[in-house]
Amino acid sequence: MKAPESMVKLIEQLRKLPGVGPKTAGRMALHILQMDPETVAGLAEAMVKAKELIHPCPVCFNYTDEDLCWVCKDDNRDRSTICVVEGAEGVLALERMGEYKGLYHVLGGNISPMNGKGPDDVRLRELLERLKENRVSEVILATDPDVEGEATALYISRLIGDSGIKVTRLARGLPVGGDLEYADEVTLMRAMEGRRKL
Amino acid sequence: MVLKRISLRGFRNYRALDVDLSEGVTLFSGSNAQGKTNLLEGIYALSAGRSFRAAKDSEMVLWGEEAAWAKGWVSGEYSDFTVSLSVSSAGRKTARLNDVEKIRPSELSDRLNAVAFIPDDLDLVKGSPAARRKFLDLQISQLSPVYRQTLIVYSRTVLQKNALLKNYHEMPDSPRLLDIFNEGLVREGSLLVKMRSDAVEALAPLAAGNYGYIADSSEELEVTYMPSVEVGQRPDLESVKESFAKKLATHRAAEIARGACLVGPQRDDLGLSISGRAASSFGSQGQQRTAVISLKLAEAEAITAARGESPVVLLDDVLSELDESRRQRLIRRFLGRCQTVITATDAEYAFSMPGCLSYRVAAGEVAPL
Ligand SMILES: Nc1ncnc2c1ncn2[C@@H]1O[C@H](COP(=O)(O)OP(=O)(O)OP(=O)(O)O)[C@@H](O)[C@H]1O
Ligand SMILES: [Mg+2]
Ligand SMILES: [Zn+2]
Repeated sequence: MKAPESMVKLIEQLRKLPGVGPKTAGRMALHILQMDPETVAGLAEAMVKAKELIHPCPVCFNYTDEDLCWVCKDDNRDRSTICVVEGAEGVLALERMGEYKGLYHVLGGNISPMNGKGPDDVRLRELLERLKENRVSEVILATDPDVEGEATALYISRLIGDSGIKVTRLARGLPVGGDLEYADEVTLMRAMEGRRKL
Repeated sequence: MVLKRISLRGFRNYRALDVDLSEGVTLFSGSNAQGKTNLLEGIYALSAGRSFRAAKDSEMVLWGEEAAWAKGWVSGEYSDFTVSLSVSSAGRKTARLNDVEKIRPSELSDRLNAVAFIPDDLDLVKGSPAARRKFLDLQISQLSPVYRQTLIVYSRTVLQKNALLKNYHEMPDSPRLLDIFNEGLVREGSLLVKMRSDAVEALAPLAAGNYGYIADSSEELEVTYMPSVEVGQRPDLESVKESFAKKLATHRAAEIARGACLVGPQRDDLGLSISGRAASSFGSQGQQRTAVISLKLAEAEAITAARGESPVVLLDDVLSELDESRRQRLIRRFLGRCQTVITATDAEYAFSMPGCLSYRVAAGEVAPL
């Protein structure tokens, strides 16, 4: 069966989105055709506008459509703490939690020699600059708990080294609300390693 | 633990198969290329979550079909349950417990243990160290999720370090990065070394006992752990870490010059010798085969000891290569110990033993003999 050319084009475009295979793209395309014209225009415009207006915050590299992002702008945030994340998704996740009151720093990736990424390919110089200027007393390393995230966290902690700034790493532990007996052995082992005094 | 029944759908050359297995020995006999090995592969996949011979799991899908599916009915010590695995032609795998609970394919071995001997396993004696490491890794992984996870993290770290060493002079601040990856290797790798050392310590006497029994001679099978990072017997984790870190330090310059990792458990080996001589160079065909079977049997016994339940033992085409005495003793060794599934090209091995089931395999169909 051959689809109309503009339909094929639409499917090709949708497939560029993450997690969208040919089947999903086909379903999405059919759905778009059934929406009313204003909604479709709204969707297209939202995409173009977002791309046009949104840029990285010049301070923390979180996404923003203003001069500074909503976190950096907020006078109520604690400016003595910076939480380092690999990508802007990290900011969104921690903001959903809503308990963190400090600032962020988005690295824009991790150190991964396999992918040709070294220390110069993440925003480390910018982080060090921020640490120099500001009265930062704690850096929280919230990179992913995989090989690359761990290496990046260790590297940053070595760089900051004996500058007097406290460096902490997010704990890897037991999920809250879960039963001990259902935790897998690896999680249990890590949680045991990361135990703290009460 | 007993695998009472299995079903295969669209699996290799089986369009649809449902077959009951004996608690003792089940024999599948048939001519070449009828589906005997495929059947064992199906049972194995229900335990390991993957094939024992295919490079790609999708090879298990019957040609032209969308997916292969295998299911096993297991009667455990505490309860009866089913395990199933489906593999799509695109290679996507789904494992289920009791038809409903989704689990990771690698977690199937927490439910059903199987130990397989296939002709390719002679690589254990004749092949490269990689084959012997794989044997150790599979054996320990079956029993320890921590080992499984640690191995994944360790291997990834080795890849990252190799990439760093390859580009050492272009990468900014590479000495510091090398320190960091080396620390990661020591942290994860030392646990691998310790667990491998413990595993071989447990396997060696069992394998030697099996060999002595099957060969019915004073020949001795010796299995030794030959780690890249030298450790004594029964090492504690801290001393392994220390030796590993030291070895990395002394080889640092060489690794940089070579542009690749030179030390660590990714270079371990297992030594196999018969009465003091390397089995690979001096063993006869029968001796090599007996050595590998003895190791596999030891694996089954180690699993039984750790689990309190014996695994299903799968023996593909082992009988024909052994002389009559070894053949008899091998079968006797299994009887009453483990549930065993055997394939053979000749039905003459159909044993007149109580509880032994015998089937004939022809072109993807199985019938009682
Ligand atoms: N994915 C597949 N789909 C359909 N048929 C397959 C598939 N993979 C293998 N086969 C076929 O299955 C047949 C039986 O293979 P199998 O290895 O089980 O034979 P066997 O009975 O063990 O023979 P032998 O005694 O020679 O070892 C082969 O002829 C092969 O062509
Ligand atoms: Mg075969
Ligand atoms: Zn900002």
